[in-house]
Amino acid sequence: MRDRLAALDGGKFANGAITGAFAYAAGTEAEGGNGQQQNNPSASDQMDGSSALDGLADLAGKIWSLPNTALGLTIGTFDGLIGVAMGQIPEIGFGQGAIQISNLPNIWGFAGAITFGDVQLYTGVSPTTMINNSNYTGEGGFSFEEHEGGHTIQSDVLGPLFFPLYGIGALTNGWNSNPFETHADYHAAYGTSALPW
Amino acid sequence: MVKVKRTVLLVVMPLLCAGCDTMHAPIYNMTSCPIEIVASTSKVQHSLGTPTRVLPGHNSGVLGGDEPVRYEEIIVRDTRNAERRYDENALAALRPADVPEDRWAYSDGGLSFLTQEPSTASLDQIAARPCSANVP
Repeated sequence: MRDRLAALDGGKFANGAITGAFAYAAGTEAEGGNGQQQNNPSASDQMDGSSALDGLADLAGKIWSLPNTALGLTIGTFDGLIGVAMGQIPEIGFGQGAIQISNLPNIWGFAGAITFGDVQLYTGVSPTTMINNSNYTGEGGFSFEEHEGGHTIQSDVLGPLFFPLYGIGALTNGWNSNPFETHADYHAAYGTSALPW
Repeated sequence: MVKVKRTVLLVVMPLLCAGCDTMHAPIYNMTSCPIEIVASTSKVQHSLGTPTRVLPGHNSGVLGGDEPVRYEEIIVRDTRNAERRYDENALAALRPADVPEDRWAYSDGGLSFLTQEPSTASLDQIAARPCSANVP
């Protein structure tokens, strides 16, 4: 049950690409919530059914998050073209349920990463760069992409509401205690929910 | 028109970057085998000093915040040397004066301060070297 919930909630141990609340809403109904499906002869059938629901929910999350993703693609393309002009070729990959564009030139003024929906942009760090201490929680031992994957889940669930709510979280809790950041950390470190509620 | 566009960019980009996850004080693994780093800094509240595994040619650092970071203690475990511990005094002795933010390289000879980022090519070269020791 615990693993199942982790998977539905985007847990990194099962499937980091799975979207959160949509899949959660669909999956818990299919599972019945009693945690005894392993002894049920039709459990595999139910799991297949819920996997299909997970896939649909995942797709719904990606569509819901399209405005954020479009913004990320626009900025990534703009930044990438600057890189090409400078002879710094961007690298494009897929991971944590998102398109990952790395080796981007530093137009922000510092090394780091930012997530816009299903697009993660990396400059001065790679998706696999490790974090030994996080200012948000004090945690460590996880990679940048695992933290950014938490933001992708949050964005897939909240869609266009993500950035306004992220801003409210920062304003009301302080920058380093923003629940969107702390939960992305806990998700990366322990595979728990990336959602701040 | 060009001036307006540039102004818009200058205003919009920092706003967009409100959600940037910054990276500070990288520690590079310049050996050919994985290492484990435990680092602590008072800049990070409630720092847990979590052991962090770093592959050859890769690095680890501090996530978030806008202030420069200096470590107060770094412990490195590698495959050849059981453990190397660098306390605040040892790090201060290795760190050049007036450097606001840390940037370290761990090689077979131990920790050394990097005055500039290592090139991607050199890191790729290190990453491609075979690890001859028993990997923990």
